[in-house]
Amino acid sequence: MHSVVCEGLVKTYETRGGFFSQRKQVVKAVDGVSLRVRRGSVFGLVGPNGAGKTTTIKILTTLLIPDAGQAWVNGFDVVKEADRVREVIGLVLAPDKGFYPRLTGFENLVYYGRLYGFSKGEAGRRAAELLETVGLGGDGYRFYEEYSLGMKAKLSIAKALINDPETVFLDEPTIGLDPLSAKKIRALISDLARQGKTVLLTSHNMWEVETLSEEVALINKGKVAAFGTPRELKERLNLSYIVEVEIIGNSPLDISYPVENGERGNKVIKMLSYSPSDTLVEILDELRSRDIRIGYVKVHEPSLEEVFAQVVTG
Amino acid sequence: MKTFSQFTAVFEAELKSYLREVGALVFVAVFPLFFSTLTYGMGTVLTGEAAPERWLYQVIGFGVMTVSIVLTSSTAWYFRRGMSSGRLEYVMAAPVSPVAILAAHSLANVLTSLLAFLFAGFVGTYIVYGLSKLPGFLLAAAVTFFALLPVVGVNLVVGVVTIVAKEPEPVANTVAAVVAATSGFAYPITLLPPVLQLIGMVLPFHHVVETARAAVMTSLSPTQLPILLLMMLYLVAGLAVYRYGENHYARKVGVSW
Ligand SMILES: Nc1ncnc2c1ncn2[C@@H]1O[C@H](COP(=O)(O)OP(=O)(O)OP(=O)(O)O)[C@@H](O)[C@H]1O
Ligand SMILES: [Mg+2]
Repeated sequence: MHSVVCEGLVKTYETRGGFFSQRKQVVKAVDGVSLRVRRGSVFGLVGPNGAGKTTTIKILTTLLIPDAGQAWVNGFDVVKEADRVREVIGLVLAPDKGFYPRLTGFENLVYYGRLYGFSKGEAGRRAAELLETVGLGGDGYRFYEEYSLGMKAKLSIAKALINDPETVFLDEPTIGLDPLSAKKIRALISDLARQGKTVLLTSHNMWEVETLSEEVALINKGKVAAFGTPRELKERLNLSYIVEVEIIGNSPLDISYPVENGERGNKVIKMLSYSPSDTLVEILDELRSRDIRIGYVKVHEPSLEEVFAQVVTG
Repeated sequence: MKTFSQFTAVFEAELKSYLREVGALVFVAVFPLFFSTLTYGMGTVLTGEAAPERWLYQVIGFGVMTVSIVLTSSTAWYFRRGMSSGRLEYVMAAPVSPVAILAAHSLANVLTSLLAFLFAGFVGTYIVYGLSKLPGFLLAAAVTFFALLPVVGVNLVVGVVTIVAKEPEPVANTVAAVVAATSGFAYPITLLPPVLQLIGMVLPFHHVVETARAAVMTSLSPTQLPILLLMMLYLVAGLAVYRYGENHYARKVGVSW
């Protein structure tokens, strides 16, 4: 079951010159993007600046009509059934925008709640609850214009959840958040998926995307350059683990592994491997059989960041 | 029920925001009284005839004009601020009715600027007629209020044009110039060349001001109400234009800043 499906999305922008300017340029922001997001999962959309992530999100949230291609959210066509889509989605576009500056955080949330049809009382109840959830419990009475960047980001996330959406689109939701707040928001995102909601998020924090997302799509220049679980992506790119074993004392010259000088003055064995546990056992067996003392043991897992670097730089 | 909820949400948010910026209100209260005095003075100098009714004619005219212009320009600014603050995108991504949104926004603005109009009109009516015509003036204010409803239709168009132009000032000022010249706020539109008269007759503003004047200075004629009802077609036409602009422009190029 998929909550978000899109096929061959294309979106071009015409740049605006001056009124009499002839230098109109066409920017192909999204160039044939197809995605499938499993219901109840967190899906990460990553890619360099200007890759087309935000544009894709805007198409999926009915804000933009694609030039070509089709997309469905919770089974509804984003162009032909826009209002049905709008009822079941939540959206964060920019963490520090989207509110009345001279209304309080609470009033702003109530405003959005009522746009989704909740009564004033119900919207107020939900707003208070969500302020608590995102960690703004004590600041709901303050004007939005007084909020710090992180507080604004938290309010944006609360706003995205005000209508209890089935599918949530979060464009860089943790940008500007302090580590503890970001952690809280990540926990919240995981919770959403656990409740059966679907979350599509973008982030430039690869570690965050990797820990949260079941599947990831890497977009580059408007095209999906890689798609799969973080593990699949690494395997497909043959990104190997690095196994490190430190040797205490003088290392014998005839050891059968590459040896480098370690930071603590000892020698360190460094091996590239696709099956780190086997490699590690092999090394340890050899060292033990020869009574060589072992310092630390480290297995370095390839990260999504390396996938990103390899795909983008080619 | 849902539409009502959306309507009240926008109404309250806009009213609260608006009341936290009093400058506009003072302008709406003060401008008609003084500007009508200026034009009345110029007219009197030219014709050599002083007639207080003509001053009231213009007080009401400029009062309605100010309310109308504040209304359309605040719509242009509503869209401009919505674009730069990111609110418009969130509103468009919610299942909302544009008519409910703009009607609520307009209502919040009309109510506040009507307060100012009440002040100006009250002062004017009292000076010219004394206490006896004040009930007539209250009726005029009520009529003005309902007669301004079709303007929501005009505002839907203003909103779309603001999205396209991205600049509220030229849109608001152009509409204001046309409306101010052709609606008969300061003079009867029969003075105008036929083309301009036609524009005045077709737009709702002329009918609003004539109805308001009749309510204070003479009496409402039976033909005026049907015309005002006919003007409600602006709501339908405005919505059609808005929907067209939304699907053929706003959702093509985006509404972010
Ligand atoms: N309104 C617009 N008018 C013209 N070009 C635009 C507009 N919005 C986006 N673009 C262009 O479309 C391309 C994709 O932009 P988009 O915002 O989707 O990228 P992104 O992947 O979200 O980047 P980032 O990581 O920086 O947020 C860019 O080349 C951008 O300049
Ligand atoms: Mg972006």
